[in-house]
Amino acid sequence: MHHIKDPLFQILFSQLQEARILLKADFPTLTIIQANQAWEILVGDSTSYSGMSFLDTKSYLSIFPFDDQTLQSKITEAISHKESISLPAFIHKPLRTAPIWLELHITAIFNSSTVPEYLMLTLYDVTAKIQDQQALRLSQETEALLLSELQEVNEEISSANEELRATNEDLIKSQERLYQLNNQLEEKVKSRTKALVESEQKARFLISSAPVGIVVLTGKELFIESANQKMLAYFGKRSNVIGMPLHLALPEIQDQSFLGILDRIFDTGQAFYGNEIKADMATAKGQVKQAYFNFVYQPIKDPEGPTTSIMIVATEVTDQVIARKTIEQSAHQLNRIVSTTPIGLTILKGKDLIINIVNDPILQIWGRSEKEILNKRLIDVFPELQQQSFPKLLSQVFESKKRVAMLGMPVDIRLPNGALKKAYVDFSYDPLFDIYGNVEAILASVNDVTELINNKKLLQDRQEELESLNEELAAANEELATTNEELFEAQAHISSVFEKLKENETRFRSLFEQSPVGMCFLKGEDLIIELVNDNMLQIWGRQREELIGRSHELARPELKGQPMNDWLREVYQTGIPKTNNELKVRLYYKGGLRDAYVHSLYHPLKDTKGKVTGILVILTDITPFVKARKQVEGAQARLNLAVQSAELGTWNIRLQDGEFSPSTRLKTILGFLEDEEMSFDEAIAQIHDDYREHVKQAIENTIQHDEKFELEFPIIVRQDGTLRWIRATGRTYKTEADLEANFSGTVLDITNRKLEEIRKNDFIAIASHELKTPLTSLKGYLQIMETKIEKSINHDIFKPFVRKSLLQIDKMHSLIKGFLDVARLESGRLIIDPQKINLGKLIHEAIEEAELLSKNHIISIIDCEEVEVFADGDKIAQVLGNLLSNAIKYSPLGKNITINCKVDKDEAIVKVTDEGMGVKPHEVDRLFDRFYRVETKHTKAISGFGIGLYLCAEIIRLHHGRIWAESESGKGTSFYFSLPLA
Amino acid sequence: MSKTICIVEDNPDIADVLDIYLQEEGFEVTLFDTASAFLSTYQKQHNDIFLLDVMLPDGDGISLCNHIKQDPAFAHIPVVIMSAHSQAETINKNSKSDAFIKKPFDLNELKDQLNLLLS
Repeated sequence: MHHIKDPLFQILFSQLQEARILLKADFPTLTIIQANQAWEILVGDSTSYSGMSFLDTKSYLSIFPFDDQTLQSKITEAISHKESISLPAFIHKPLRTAPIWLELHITAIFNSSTVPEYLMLTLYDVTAKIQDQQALRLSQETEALLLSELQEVNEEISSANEELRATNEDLIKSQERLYQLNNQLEEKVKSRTKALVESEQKARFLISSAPVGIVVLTGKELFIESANQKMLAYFGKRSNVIGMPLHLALPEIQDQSFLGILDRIFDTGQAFYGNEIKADMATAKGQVKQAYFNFVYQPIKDPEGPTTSIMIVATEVTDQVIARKTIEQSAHQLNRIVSTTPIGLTILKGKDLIINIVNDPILQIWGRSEKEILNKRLIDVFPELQQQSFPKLLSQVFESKKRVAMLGMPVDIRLPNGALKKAYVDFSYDPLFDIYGNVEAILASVNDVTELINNKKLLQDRQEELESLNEELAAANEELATTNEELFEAQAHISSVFEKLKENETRFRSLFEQSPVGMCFLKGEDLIIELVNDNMLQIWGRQREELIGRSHELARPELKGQPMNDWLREVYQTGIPKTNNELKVRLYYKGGLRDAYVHSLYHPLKDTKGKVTGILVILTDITPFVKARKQVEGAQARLNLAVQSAELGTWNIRLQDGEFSPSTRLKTILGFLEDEEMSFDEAIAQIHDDYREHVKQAIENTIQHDEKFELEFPIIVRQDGTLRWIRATGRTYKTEADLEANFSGTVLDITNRKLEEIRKNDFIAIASHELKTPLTSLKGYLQIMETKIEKSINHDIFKPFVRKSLLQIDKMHSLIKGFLDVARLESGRLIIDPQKINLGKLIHEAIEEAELLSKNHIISIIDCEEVEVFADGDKIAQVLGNLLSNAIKYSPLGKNITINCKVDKDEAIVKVTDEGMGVKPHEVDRLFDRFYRVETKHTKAISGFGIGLYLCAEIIRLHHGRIWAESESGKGTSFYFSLPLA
Repeated sequence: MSKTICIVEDNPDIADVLDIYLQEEGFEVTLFDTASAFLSTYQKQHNDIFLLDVMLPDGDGISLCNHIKQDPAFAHIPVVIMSAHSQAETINKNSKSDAFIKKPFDLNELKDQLNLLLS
């Protein structure tokens, strides 16, 4: 004790800068021994403390936030550790000065033994330190917030939410961690009851130092069992609220939803997670402030199950929420700016140009509703832009990061109804940047100036119109001037013409005289014949002396009873010219009269006043022409009659241009209607397929070589498809004077005759077959007989008989064959089967057979070996056989027969030449006619029906080849035929 | 060994000639004068070759030929068609016959043709 009373100690103690108070270690009273001046100033307590219990002092009660227990445990700790122990810093708010942070240190002072005698309590002003710490933390937090704010600007609201959710998860995690720790602590309490105090303090420290607000509420009344500093700060309360029911500790939350939620957790035992929940919290200064929290209400259950308490873990997110709200607001503001701007504005987001925001003016320009286009790609909404320059300009903005603006750009916009709207716009594309300075979106402003531009154009057009009108007027003026000049010139011309007139009269007189037509001039009312030329005298059959100076009517009495004099008077009176064409008149002729035809012109001659002074009569005598024509007409009429009565169809082809004029009858024959058009090709198309080429070839030959055209062929009637036969004949008429060269002819329907013929041919075919059957057995018997006869007696007599019988049978067979072939041809049933064959081989075979017929002729072959043709071998063999047998038959005296082959273009020409009697020129053409036989005294003895060459011609025709003959009577004949090359 | 020839021919004289001549030439000859008689019998006997006339009172040789050629057991046996009808040769081109002989025929040529097909 003596130390304390020591004056030196007193001075030292009382003048210490640190605020100190000395207490007796008389627990739990803690009697104050002495407090120094600094203590008294700091705690604002000037009363003498000596002898008082420290726990009763005003300063203890009002300043220190610790309860007795805390203090007591701290003192115990200081004693047991024999060192200075500090309590957590706390804030002290003196009445007149600024609040300060204080930290209490407890030091036990021992006398000699281990028993503590005094306790020294020291209060340090740690305001500066704490403020520094807080400032640091605040700046850290602000920095973090700023960072997150920046990020939030970058990201969508959803990402902010995610972040918050992540924070929430962090909270849950740390809460779980704490929960675990708590459990561990509880276990420790159970197992290590002795270390209870220390453990509890450790737990409290953990909770109190956690970076989140934590509070534990116990029981239905929600007693605040413990709360850390952070939570107390959120509450805006001090630690004295611990132990109080929540609704009393925080009366301001009474009207908010939290109490209800907490009540429910007791009932349900389910945790509650709050996200950005708004709360009105009291501040330390007693004001109410709006704050936002993420929190967890975690029920804590005892092992039996029921919830005994609730732990609340909370973080304040007010700043983040406010930051976000600010962004939202600014976005909203932008939206409002865009929507209220009177020019078209849109924000296109990203390189895809998603239409993010639009206003009414731009919707009007685009002709779309907001619903149709919002959040769609610009190019999807306006595919027509693809062809225009806009998308390119927009993507340029993304790259260049520079504004693009243009005035009066034409733009085509496809309206939803499909119409194309032509518009003109002023527009600008402003880049909007993200925090990295990249273009994130484009603010496009578009002003529809279509009307303006159109008006401008209209104005321009009007001006141009006016200008062109002016030009036209100027041109018209010039034209008028030119016309004036021309008029002057014309006047000058007229006067010169006048002068030439006299000259002309002389010339007229000579013209009059020499004119190739009859001319006469009648003068005055009496029509006195003043002038008449020689031609006129000839026509009239008069002498000049009979006429000149006399009246026309009296001079030509032959006209009495004819209308000419009346007409002349009429012309004189009316002044109107009169013409008559092909006028029939009776004229004076060698003392009598003749019938004549004239063209006449009565032309009145007038003086300058228009009065008729005379008549010019011009006559042409056309009597010979008219008479000739009448004769022709008569012949034509008779011919027409003949054509009509024969029911002949006729045609005419003008060679110059191929114009085809068929007669009505020809049209009906081919199955066309009378008034229908029928072209040459259409007419040809009606010819039967098997004959068409042949007919065309014949027509061609007629036109080219003047050959006679005479054919019988079947046609298919267009109307009903029936087959009819016609006979067509014609010839070309070459140019005679004024007649155009043409190919014309007639067509006759010969169906009935032809069908009759076909029936006859059918009969022949059947007859041939019937004839062949007995011939077969006859030949068979004879052949058997021929083999047997060797062994019989008199075989030398009978053998030649049998042989001759067999030869007669062969002859008969060939006759029957001939008839049959002709019959087949006539009925159109001769069918050829063309193949690639060697002509030389075929000719050799034919020669071998022919040589059997005659031993007197030498048949030679020239240049035929290599020739390949496209033909029916059997049929061509028949042709060759026929030509050779003819050559043999008709040249009984001639010796040599030659077969010669020649290749010309795409055909082979075979020539068979004999040295026989020949044929007269006029008969050559008819050689190939059916049943035609050259009748001479030499041929009388030669047998045959005259069908061989006809058959040859038909076979060659079916091969699309040609056959002809050249002959010189008495010297020999050459037969030619052509075949297509293989 | 002698070959068997089966002939369908309605004309008795031609049939007679063929019968005499071919027997002389060493053939065994079976004769039918109608298509139906032929059809009811030909499968029951051995045949080396068929000679068929086209125009028959109750059918035609070309149809008979086709009938034979469709029968797997007989398709390999040669068939010769004969006719006096000029168009029969054309029609026969579509049948499966092995040869065609025009009437009136030369017996030597007929024999050569038959032997050629049988060799």
